[in-house]
Formats: sequence, structure tokens, C-alpha cells
Amino acid sequence: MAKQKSKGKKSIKHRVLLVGFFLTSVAILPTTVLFFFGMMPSIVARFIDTSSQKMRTLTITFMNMAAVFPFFFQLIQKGHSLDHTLEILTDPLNIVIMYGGAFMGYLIDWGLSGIVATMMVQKGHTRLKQIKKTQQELITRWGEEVTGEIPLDRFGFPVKNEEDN
Amino acid sequence: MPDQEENTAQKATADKKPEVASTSSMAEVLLKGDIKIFPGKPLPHLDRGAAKAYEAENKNGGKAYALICPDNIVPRISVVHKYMNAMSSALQKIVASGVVDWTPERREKYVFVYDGNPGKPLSTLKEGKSLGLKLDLVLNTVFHNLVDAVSALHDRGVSHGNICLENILDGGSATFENVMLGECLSVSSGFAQPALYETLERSMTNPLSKGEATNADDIYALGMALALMIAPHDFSAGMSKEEVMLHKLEHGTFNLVTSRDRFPGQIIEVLRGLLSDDVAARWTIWDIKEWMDGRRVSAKQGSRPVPKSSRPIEFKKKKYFRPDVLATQLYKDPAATLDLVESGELYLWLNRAIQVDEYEERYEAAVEQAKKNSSGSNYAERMVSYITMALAPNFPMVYKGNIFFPEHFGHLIVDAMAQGRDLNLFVEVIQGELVPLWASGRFDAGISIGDEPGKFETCRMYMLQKSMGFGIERCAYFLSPSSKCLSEKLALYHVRSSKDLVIALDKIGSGKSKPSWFFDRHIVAYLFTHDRQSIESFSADLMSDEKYRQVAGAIKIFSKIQQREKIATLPHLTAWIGGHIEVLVNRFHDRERRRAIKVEADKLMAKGSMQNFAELFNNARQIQDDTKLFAIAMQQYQNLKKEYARLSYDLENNKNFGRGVGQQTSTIVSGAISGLVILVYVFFQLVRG
Repeated sequence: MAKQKSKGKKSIKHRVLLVGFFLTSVAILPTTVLFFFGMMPSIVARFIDTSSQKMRTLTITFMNMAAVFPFFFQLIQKGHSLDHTLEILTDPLNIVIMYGGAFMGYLIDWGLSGIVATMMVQKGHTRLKQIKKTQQELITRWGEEVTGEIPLDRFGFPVKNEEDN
Repeated sequence: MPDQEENTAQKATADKKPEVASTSSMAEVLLKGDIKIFPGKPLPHLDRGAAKAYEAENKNGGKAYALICPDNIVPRISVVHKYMNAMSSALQKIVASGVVDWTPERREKYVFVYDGNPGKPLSTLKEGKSLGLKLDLVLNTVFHNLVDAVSALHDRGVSHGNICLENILDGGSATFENVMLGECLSVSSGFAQPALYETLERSMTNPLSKGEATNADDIYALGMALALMIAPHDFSAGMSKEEVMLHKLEHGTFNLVTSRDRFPGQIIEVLRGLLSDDVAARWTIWDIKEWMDGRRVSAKQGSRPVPKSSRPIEFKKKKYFRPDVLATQLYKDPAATLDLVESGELYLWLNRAIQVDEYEERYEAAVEQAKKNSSGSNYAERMVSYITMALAPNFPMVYKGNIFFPEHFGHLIVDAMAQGRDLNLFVEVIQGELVPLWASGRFDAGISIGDEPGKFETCRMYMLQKSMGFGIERCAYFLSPSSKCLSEKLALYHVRSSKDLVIALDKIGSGKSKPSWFFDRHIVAYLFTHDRQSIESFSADLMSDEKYRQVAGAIKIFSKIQQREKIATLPHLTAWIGGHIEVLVNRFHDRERRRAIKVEADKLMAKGSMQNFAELFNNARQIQDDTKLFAIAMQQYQNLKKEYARLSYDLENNKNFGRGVGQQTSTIVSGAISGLVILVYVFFQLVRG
């Protein structure tokens, strides 16, 4: 009952936000149109990116945003109108710049994640060697019994066989 | 019963004598650094049974003689201080006593050294036992000196126990003015005393277990010595020891002494008083002094005489009219004794011929006790023992042909242990509860008993426990505290205290062949009886099955003794212990700590201090820290193991390993670049205008 109520409350909140977002978008329509078309690669990336954290989307979005921002600045400077927006968007060079930024973002994500992943694998292997070395040092200092693989008495010493006794 | 052999222990000693080197060319042996003893100069006329005499020299160079105590006989060390305080010119003056390294036997021995040259025993004056000396001469010289000596001893609360012509010395003069009483400390009380000089009861007994002689026993022996000095003929000539004993029992000692010769009238009264078989009627030293002063000694009330029946009882084709006389024969044939009891003949005789209720009551109690506690194999022997007690409560105890007073039962055990003989007999006596009935019979008969019942009950408790520190060994040292430690490990040493023990072990440690372990049942039992505080706290460790606890316990014990006795150094014992510390070192988990401890232990071994060893290995804080760190190390190992498993799995199976981090990095880089681009653009736009 309580969950249903909270779900209900959330959906109301969402709807309110959605309505608000819609109304705002309509209110600043030129900016909305500019960003809609200019950030299209980011929107597409958002749907293509299957990872849970959407890091690639963010990477592309940041570079896309960096490329779109100057045009937004121009829009504000020239006058915040739909005509100016269309003027910007119909210039192929502008589209190239905006989409080029997104592409850079994609390149950064592809290149850097590959390099870092390789480094991480190397680090992983190094760490494995380090672990082995540390374990050996522990055995050297504390004996085989530190491994926990030998039956131990209550004082932590190997249990002796009757023959040893 | 005198066939108990006076010299049983002496014979046994002779049977198992240690290898003795030729003494003629032996170098002198030193006692306490400045008293010399000459093994090459024996003095056989001064021997006291198995204790042999040798010439000696006191620290001033004056003449002396030493008595070397045999290992299997317990000397009277406990009364030395009393003896030393007895002031009489007729007593041997002790110069010193202690342990020497006795080179002829290549082992340590206990020795007493007495001052001067006491001369020859009076027994050497004439062939045979009696001397036939003039009465006046004897009374004015010998007897006077002897009374002085005995009086001095009795004043100090110590009896002599060995007054006989073989131990009365002429002082180096033919006129007897310097007659002295010989020594009495080197062997157990009465051990070297001939049976003739002993009272009836003591003469029956094994020489080792007569018990401490009483003042009354000394008076008896004095009387016998007096009689033999004066008698022209040996009144016991041609009589066996048993015949002498039976004559004393049936007719009295005075009758025996006066059986062949007539004694002067003036001596009759004193002989009768001294030789009274009834202790209550026997004179004391004060009575003798009164008599010597010319005063009349009042007659004493004797105790009730032993009943005599008109109708005899037959045992082994001999007739007996008295229960105590019968009692002297029963032990010779236990089977016949059992028949006598089970046929009812003995009871009938007591009931109809003796007709004294006490005898019947004791008899019934004895039979009941014998039936209650006996197994099949020793039933007859126990019956003999109990019936003897019932018929003659004043007699010593009898068991399996051994006759002893419980007071010195411990000496018998010591002798058997020293000789390596079987100890089952002693175990049976202790476990069989014979002593309580013997003691109660004596108590009912008005005869004084000591603390033997309590001691034997304690011993019975000791026998119930099998662990080290208990058993027959504990009983031996408890009953015979003046004995040395009889451990085989210490065979060459005379150990009488825990200090002696560690010093002996230190010497053993210096040798090439050492025993594998420091302790055995004897040593542990000896420490419990002689130095309980040094072992009691650590006995659980010492007797543990774990070797490391045993070693730790040993170190603690030795450390405590060294510290308390202020022994400067024990280098060989420390080194010996050093060979066992591996198990203690290995109780640390940390191998680095082990190496450090070993290095430290090697340094400490050279110093010879067990205390330092104890501090090194019994540091509880260090052990706790080691255990804690080991637990942490174990945890660390397990964590690393898990991490390794996880990481290697990821590396092998996760194709996108590191990608997540890569993407995060690229997001950050991208964000940074984008931010920078935006800021730079805005800046330039603002600057432009």
C-alpha cells in the first residue's frame, strides 16, 4: 500500500517535471531546436550505449556540448529567435563542427578506454605476481601453517601425528 | 627372629658394592677445603657396620678420623645439631660433616669427621664378648664416663643407639680414664648395634628398621655393656641369636646376664634396674646418677606381665605357654599359622587357657582384618602379620619374613631402592593398611605410638596416584627425609637438597654422556618432599605430555632454585638445557623471532644463568604478541588468496576488464576538455567585446 502510494507520488512528480520541461522547451524554442539537432549524436549515443553507467554517452555528450556551445552563444548574441537557429543549423560547416565534437568524444572514449584497459590488465598481472610474492614472504616468516591449509591445534601449530609424538 | 640378620643390609651392601679402586696409593680427599681424609689409611676398628673409618686431619693439622656413610643406609643427619650441643668429654667431638668426592669409589659420599684419636674399642681387650674387668675400675672410669656421655646426650634430646663394647673406645690409654663413647651418627640408629645389647623387640628387627633408639634403649645397652665388662665369662656363649632372644623373652635379660657368673652384690641392683625388660621399670639416667651418688633408687611400678597359660598350644610340634613366645615363631610357617587359625585351635587356647579378654578381642579383630583386606596370594602372610600383632602388640611388625618398626620403614625402602631390589613388599605393606591395626593394638596395650599411622595413611594416598612425584618413591623420601636422592642419574652424587641437585646436574652436564632428560620419578619425588615450593607450581608443566611444557617447567624449576640458593653460574646445565630449547623456540610462530631467540639463547648459555633463560622463554607478553601477529598474518594471507582468485578470474574471463575504468577516465578527460573549450571561448568572447 505504502509502495503504491510512493510510486504514485513519483509518477506525479515525473509528470509534473515532464510538463514543466515541455513548457520550458516551448518557451525557449530556439535553444531547444538548436540543442535538439546539435546534440543529436549524444541522444543517439544515449540509446546505443548499453552500459549501466552510460560513461560513453557522457564522454560524447561533453565533447558534443563543447562543440554546440559556441553556436548557442552566437544565438544568444544575435537574438534568441528561431530564424537564427535555422540559420545556424542550415550551415553545413556548423553541423560538421557540432557533430565533429561528438565524434571527438567518441574517439576519446574508444582510444582512452582501450589504453587504460590495457594498462589495467598489465597492472592486474603485476598485482598477481605481487600477491604471490607477499604470500611467499608470509610463509617464509610464519611457516606453512599461515596458509591455513595444514590442520592446526588451538595454539596455531601444526597438529602432530602419533608417530611424531 | 634374630635370623633377620643383623647384617642383612651390610650383606646386601657387600653384594652390590661399587667398584672400589685400590686405596693404598690414593691421594687425600678434602672436606670443606681444609679437612683431609686419607683413603689409604683405613681404621677398621672404628668401622660402624657398613660405614668405614679412615684417618683424617682437621684444619689445624691435628689428628682426626672420618666415617664414610654407605649410600643405602640413612645417616642420622637430623640429630647432628643436637649431638653437637651435647657437652661431654666422653663423647666424640664432630669436626665437620658433609659431602666429599670419594675417590676410591669415584662418587660423592657423606662423611662425618671426628676429632682426635679415640683409641681402640674395649672389645679388643679380650677374646670373646665379656672382659672380666674389676668392678671398681669399671665404675670409677668407664661407667662414669659413659654415664656422663649418655647424660649429655639425653639432656639434648638425642639418644645414642650404639652403646656396646665395640663402640666404647679406650681413648688411647690403658687405664680407662679417657674412655669415650664412639660415634652414633654415620648409620641409622641401632644399625651397627649387636642384638645382644638390644631390647627384645629391637633385637628381632631388621637392623635398618629398628627405629630411633629411645633413652630407655640406651640405658639397656649401658647395662649390657656394664655386665659384659664385669662378667668373667660370656653368658651368651654357645647360644644362637634366636636362643638369646628367646631366653630374654621367657626368663628376662637379667636372668640371662646372671646365668653363668655371680656378680658382686653392689652391682646387682643397678644391673636389675638397667636391664629390666619392662620399660616402665627400667632406670633412667637420673636414676643411675642417683645410684652413683650413693642414693637409693626407688622401685618402679612395672607394667602388667604377659599372661602364661597352664595348658600349652602346639605349633610345629613344639609347645608354647605364652602368646608372645608363640608370636616369635608364626612368621616361619605362614601355612601352618593359617591352619592354626582356621582350625579354631588358637582361639580356643586364648579363650580357655590364656583367658584374658584383651587377647581375644585383638585376635578377633586381627582375623577379621586379615580376611577383609587379603587377596588370595598374600592371605596367609597377612594372617601371620595380624595374629602376631594380636598376640604381642609390643613386637615390631612382621610381614613376609620381614620384621620392622614402621618408624624406619622408609629406611628399608631406601635400602631396597639403592640395591635395586623388588619393591612389591613395601607397596603391599602401605596399601594393605597393616600399620593402623598395629598402632591401635599398641595404643590399647598402653604402648606409645608416634605419628606412623598418619604417615602411612599419607603414603597410601601417594600410592593411589601413578604420576611422577608420587608412588613408592614419594613414600620413601617422605618416610626417610634424611636419605639422599636415589635416582640412577645421580648415582655418583650425594644429593640432599635442591641446591645439590642442580649442582650435580651441572656436573653431569659437563660430561660426554648425559641422560636424555633431567628428571625421573626419584628426582621429582625428592623435590616434592624436600623443596616443594620450587616444583609445585610447575609440576603440571613438568608432567605434561607436551615436550615444550616439560622443558619450560624444567627451566622454571632450575631458575627458581638457582635464584633462591644464589648459585652464581650453572654453565653446563644451561648448555644441557640449551640442547632442549628447540621445542621452546618453535613455540614462536615468527621465524625471525625464532632466529633472534636462538642467538640470544646462545649468548645466555655462556653466562650460565637459568634465570635469564626463564625470562627469555617465559615472557608471556612476547608470546601473546607473537600469537596475535600470527593471527593477523593468517588473515592477511587469506585476504590475498581471495584477491588473487578474484583478480585472476577477472583477467581470464572478463573481456572488458579495465574498460569501465577506461571509460570513466575518458569521461573525465572529455569533461575537462569540454569545460576548457567552453571557458576559453567565453573568455575570448568577453575580451573581444
